[in-house]
Amino acid sequence: MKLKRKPILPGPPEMDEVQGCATLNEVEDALHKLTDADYAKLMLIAGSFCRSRKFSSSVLETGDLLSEAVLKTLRMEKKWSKRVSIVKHLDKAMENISGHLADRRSKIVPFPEGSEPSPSQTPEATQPTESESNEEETSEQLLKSIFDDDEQARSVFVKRVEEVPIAVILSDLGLTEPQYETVTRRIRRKLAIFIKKSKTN
Amino acid sequence: MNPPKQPPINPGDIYRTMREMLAEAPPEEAIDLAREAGMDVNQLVQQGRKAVGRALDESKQEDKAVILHKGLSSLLVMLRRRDGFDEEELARRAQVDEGEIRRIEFDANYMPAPRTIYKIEQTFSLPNGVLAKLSGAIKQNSPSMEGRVLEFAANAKTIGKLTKAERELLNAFVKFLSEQG
Repeated sequence: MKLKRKPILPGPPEMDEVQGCATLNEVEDALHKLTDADYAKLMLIAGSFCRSRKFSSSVLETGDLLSEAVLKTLRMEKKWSKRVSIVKHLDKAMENISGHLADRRSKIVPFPEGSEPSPSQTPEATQPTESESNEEETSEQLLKSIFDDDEQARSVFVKRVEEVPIAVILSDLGLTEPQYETVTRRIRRKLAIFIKKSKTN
Repeated sequence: MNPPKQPPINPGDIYRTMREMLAEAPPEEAIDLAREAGMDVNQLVQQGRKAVGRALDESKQEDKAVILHKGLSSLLVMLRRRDGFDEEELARRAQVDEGEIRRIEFDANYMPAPRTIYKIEQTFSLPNGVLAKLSGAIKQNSPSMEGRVLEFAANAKTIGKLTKAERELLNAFVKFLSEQG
């Protein structure tokens, strides 16, 4: 029998220091210091993964995804580079985990018609991956369901998607910095509503 | 001249940007966002707290399992040294696979079968369950257990004949294990 444990020697700590990776103690410390705001953010982010991968709650709960990301970090399977915040790191870890889960699911061969499905071949297990779901859900539909007719919020968001520098966004859309801040706050609120709506549906 | 045309955006990029922007939210805004979206903020925070707590607990359990396994491998080596057995001889006497003995001693992730543990206990005439408590087959909740195991493993050497001090250490550790509930 093989246990799924972290390696006894995850690597010399001094090496981790050199590479800017957090030690186990630093990871634990950062996790204990998470605030309510951090938890809210992490759960919203986890919710967005479940939405984008089209995982239903019977396949993956948002809490399970976050828990797995934390566990992999504690096992040093996903090393936290201290240059980014722990929230950002867990975001990346969740992206990776949900991606693998979606890949695995896409490789399950559908059972032939008329035969009895095995437990691993239930319709739940053969849901589309993110790329497959993208074919069904176009960018236009997605943007429409997030922003409806708020053109200003949509324009700023699309420029962010296109990785346009903020200074250029301001000049292209004729916004001042405070106006930009107001719009980004409105965008975040719409994103949270979108995630909440997806969970309800 | 027209500006260069941007390639069409895809849904994956939209979700990525969505997460980036949520992660950027100032702390004072994050709670409001969830509330304004109609979420039960307390429940959301509790779920997050529980998810992180669960992972921390699981990690601690794994640490404990690794420590206990270290104790098991050190104890096995000490018992072999006491009785002058090499791995082959112990495997022959206990009627288990030699490879399994080596894995117990060297592979921290290896969880031996209960039968193997029972056979080894019999071979060394140990009280029932002494090795099983270290192998994870019998659940241990004693808070002093990990400290004792680490202390024993740190003092256990791997080669040569047992010294008097080592024999005392071994006997004390076996007695300690047999007294654990």
